[in-house]
Amino acid sequence: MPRIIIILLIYFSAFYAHANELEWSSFGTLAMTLSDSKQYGFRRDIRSDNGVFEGDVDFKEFSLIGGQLETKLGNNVDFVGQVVLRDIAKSKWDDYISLAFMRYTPNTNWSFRLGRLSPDLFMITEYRNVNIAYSWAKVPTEVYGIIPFLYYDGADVSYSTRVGDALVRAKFFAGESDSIVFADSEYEGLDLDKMLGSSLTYDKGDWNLQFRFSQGKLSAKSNAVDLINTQIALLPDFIWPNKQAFYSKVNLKNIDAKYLSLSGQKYLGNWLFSFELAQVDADSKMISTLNSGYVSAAYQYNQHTFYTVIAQTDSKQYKFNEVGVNTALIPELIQAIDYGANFYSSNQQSMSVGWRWDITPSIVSKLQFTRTDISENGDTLWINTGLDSPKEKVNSLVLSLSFAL
Amino acid sequence: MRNVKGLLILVLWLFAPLSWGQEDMVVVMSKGTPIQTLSKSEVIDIFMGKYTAFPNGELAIAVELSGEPEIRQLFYKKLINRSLASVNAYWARLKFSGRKRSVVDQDSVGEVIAYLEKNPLAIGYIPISSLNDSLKVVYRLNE
Repeated sequence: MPRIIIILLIYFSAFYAHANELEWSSFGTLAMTLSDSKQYGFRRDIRSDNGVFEGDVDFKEFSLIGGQLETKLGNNVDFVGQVVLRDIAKSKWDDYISLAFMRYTPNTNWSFRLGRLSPDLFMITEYRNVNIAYSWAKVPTEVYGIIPFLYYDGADVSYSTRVGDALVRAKFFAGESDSIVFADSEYEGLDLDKMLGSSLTYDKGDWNLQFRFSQGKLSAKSNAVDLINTQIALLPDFIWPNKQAFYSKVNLKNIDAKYLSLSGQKYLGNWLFSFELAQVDADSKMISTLNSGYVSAAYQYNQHTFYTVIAQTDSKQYKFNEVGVNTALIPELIQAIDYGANFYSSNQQSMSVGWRWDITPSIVSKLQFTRTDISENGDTLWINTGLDSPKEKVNSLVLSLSFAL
Repeated sequence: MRNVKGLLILVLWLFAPLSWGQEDMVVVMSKGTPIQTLSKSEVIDIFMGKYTAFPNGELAIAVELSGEPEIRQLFYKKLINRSLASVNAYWARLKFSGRKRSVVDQDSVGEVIAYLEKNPLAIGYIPISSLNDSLKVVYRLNE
């Protein structure tokens, strides 16, 4: 959706808004992040270019402030706009607009939204900026660090109904998004077009189960991959006879990408248990299938919640093994292909322990310690300052103060 | 004088939760509403923004007692056994993801009752001692 439509939506809504029905609200986080690796810089996701290394005292990774405006435009129509100010690598002016949509709610079963919306790829992608909304000081990087999209422009339709004592909600959405991936000191554009997605939620008593599936056309503007493609195209057939078949799989333009997530939560007395299993799959040798997940347990005692999270991301490492290629004549190219193909091959596991203190119902402080075990060549989610990618165990600490008013 | 007033507020604050804690809570609507009773899961769905309609299909207007945190805390403790902080976190999720519009906020029990009297589809919660003839109980929390 062209950005001009977002602007028109905001303008139109401002013009028709009833001044007495404007509702302002806000949320924010001030967070300090420490980490203890000289080679691997901790970051919230693959868009971030701000690694936190040993000795750094960082306030940029998770600190943000957001404001939201809601206004009724008619009986069943309202507008929601949200601005989130934070550190965003290579930002455009409208990257700070995280929501700008019109919502039509004809009855309690149906809801239609059009405009700029939060991506609903995994369980928490819709509200990961709202720190107060979840137990942890940060969402599990193993699952969410690979998603650089801040929003998407499009539409969704939701249908909710009661089935006995349970509530079932189905949502379908379509749209497009774009973002940036920071890797090897370079910024690479990443577009997600023709995105179609769905989510299904089953909510009964203390149980909540959610399933999500989205697919779209992913295009990356990668200088490294372009260079590999150019070099393969120039090779004579006696070195690489069937290079066309391989060439089409190295391409990062309009490749099919799929996002899958199964998640759940269960309240049991003072305990909250949650889990999520996620998969990112793309039809390219340059993006290997990524399986990730986490389990979490949190115990609440009055205003204090103590929690632990175990998370993992796993993908196969690519090793060039195409048949009939004279690899001895092109060792640098083979090395570059291996490196490029393994860029998204994130392999790491982590264990976190944390403490959430609800100072007031609207102000929360959190402290989380995470020990991450990064596998060799599995450092996609980190900023690597070295020439190689050895395995390493990294400790990180996030201390945050959040509010929602 | 200021110290005495401050001390009085402190004493009231300390004992208020205790006094509310001993009292039953009721979920109420205006007397003229066609709704007779609601189940616990229906009340939860309405106040947690999951499904904001009555069994007859009419859209429910949930009225939140935002100005009385002790009563609010007690209501959610009895209804879903969760703290106010947990409920606020839940609503922050719905609100800032743009999924749900906030409920109607009122500062006091008196304002809730006045709002319910004017809106037959509005639903609120009050301590049973505040019940009057203009209201109909659709759910009791201590039954």
